[in-house]
Amino acid sequence: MNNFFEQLSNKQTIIHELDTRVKIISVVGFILISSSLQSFLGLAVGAAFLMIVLKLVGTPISPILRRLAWILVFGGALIALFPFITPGKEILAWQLGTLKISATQEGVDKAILLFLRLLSAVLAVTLLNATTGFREVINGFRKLHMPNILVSIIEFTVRYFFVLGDELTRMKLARKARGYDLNQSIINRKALMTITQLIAVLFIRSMERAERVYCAMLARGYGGVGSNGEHRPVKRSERVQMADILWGIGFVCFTLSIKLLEAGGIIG
Amino acid sequence: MVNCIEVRDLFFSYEDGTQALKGINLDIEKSTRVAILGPNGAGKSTLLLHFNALNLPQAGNVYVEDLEVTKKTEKLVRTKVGMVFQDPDDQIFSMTVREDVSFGPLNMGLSPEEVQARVDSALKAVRIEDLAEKAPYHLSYGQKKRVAIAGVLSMSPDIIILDEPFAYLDPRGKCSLLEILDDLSQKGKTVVIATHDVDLAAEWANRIVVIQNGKVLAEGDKSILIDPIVIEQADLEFPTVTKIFLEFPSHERERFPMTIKEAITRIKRMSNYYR
Ligand SMILES: Nc1ncnc2c1ncn2[C@@H]1O[C@H](COP(=O)(O)OP(=O)(O)O)[C@@H](O)[C@H]1O
Ligand SMILES: [Mg+2]
Repeated sequence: MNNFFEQLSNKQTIIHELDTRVKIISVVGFILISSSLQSFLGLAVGAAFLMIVLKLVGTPISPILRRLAWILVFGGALIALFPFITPGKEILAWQLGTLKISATQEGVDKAILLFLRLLSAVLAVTLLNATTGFREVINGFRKLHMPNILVSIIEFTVRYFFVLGDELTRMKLARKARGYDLNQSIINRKALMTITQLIAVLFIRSMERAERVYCAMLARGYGGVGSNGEHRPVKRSERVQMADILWGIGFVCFTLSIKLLEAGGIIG
Repeated sequence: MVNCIEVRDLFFSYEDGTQALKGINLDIEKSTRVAILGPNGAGKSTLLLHFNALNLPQAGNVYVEDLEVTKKTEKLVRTKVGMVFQDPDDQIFSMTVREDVSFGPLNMGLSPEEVQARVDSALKAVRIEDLAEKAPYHLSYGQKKRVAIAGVLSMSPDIIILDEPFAYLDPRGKCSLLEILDDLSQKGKTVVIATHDVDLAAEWANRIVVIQNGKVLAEGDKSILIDPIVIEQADLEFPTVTKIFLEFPSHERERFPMTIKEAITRIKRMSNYYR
């Protein structure tokens, strides 16, 4: 993982020291339950709860928010469409010639709801990241008997993300050195061609690298996809403790109680 | 002397039809320091991959410690031969150095204690004990190279193969890699490197195999590095030291020096002669 999370995950709080499996399951549980919430208030309370926990484990909130902004840009683009594609009571309308574009109240509500769900999910994963080293998370997946091939894919993706990033930087630099301006508008046909080629070459290079990586793994006795890690017995001290489970249950119960309040019609 | 690698009439073509190896014959003796020397594209890497059973012979045979390299023996062969790849980024993929170095031993099915012990001694052998918990991708190139070597040493192979190990290393990095390789030979390991660097071959190896265009052009001790016919046919050059001495007529009918040490001895002797 990047430096930021790696440093955070080296801190020591109760949550840092919880069993990784419990953390993974409770975060997944939290996300599942909170994304089934229907009310703005319930979702907002859930998100606020996560923020508080993040703060308690010593995470500086502002860099997290900055990171969040990036992720939300992608989700946000989709969400912004909702008001215009959901049928319902019109609250805004433009007439563009024969084309009529209108936003509906139902659409806006749906968009806000989606946004809050995305926010909760991202915050929950952030909490896992900030309190658990990436290696730990990977081991946790393994111990939870997640199929090895999936775990390996996650591990390699993260690892090679950096290698590919380096490669891309080098390629961009080399183009710049030959007088190519990276910041020019991509409407320009030539620029578009260059970018397309850059991506194509990056793709081919990654394929070739993947092959070399696989060779290097075989050279060190790797028995093929899926056999990695089978020699890692779970030590007794790695057994889940009751305390871990209680913490996990407490965490999930928080969203569960919001869910119950909502179902009982008390909030929402 | 006992051979630990034998290659007989080895041919290999890539899928696109490139004939990379065209009948290689080669013996590597136990506990030697071998430099496989040749220009780019000569077939060095292709040959090395056969020693580790990553390439299987298409025609001919490869024997590693009397074991024929085939599909059946590939796993066993890989425990005997450790291969360090040219680009450490191809080889290192775990989240911490320690974890990466334990990859091989874990694949061998060793006990956790044994793995731990091997990792520690491998890290010590390449002098990076202090980097054990670091993330490999933040390390310098030279450090990554050492992690890659440690990742192979932890499997305790008798034969260690390195493809262009000195490429891109700074002078300090080269120096410490040479020391590491010296340590390995002192422990009785067979060390084989592929390189196009004649100077390094001259300084380090005690056995030279010159490859050109998929064939062995010459094989022998270091004296073949100053054989004009071999050097020209192989598209290589004389060692730098030798190039200097080529300018001076040899008074004694003795071979030209190749290494800095030999040069110093010779210069001392020459200055006595002129005095
Ligand atoms: N994956 C490949 N596919 C096709 N041709 C290859 C491949 N790898 C190497 N070659 C070709 O095989 C020949 C020998 O290459 P190689 O063994 O890498 O040489 P060296 O390591 O001595 O520079 C070269 O002509 C090279 O172009
Ligand atoms: Mg090569």
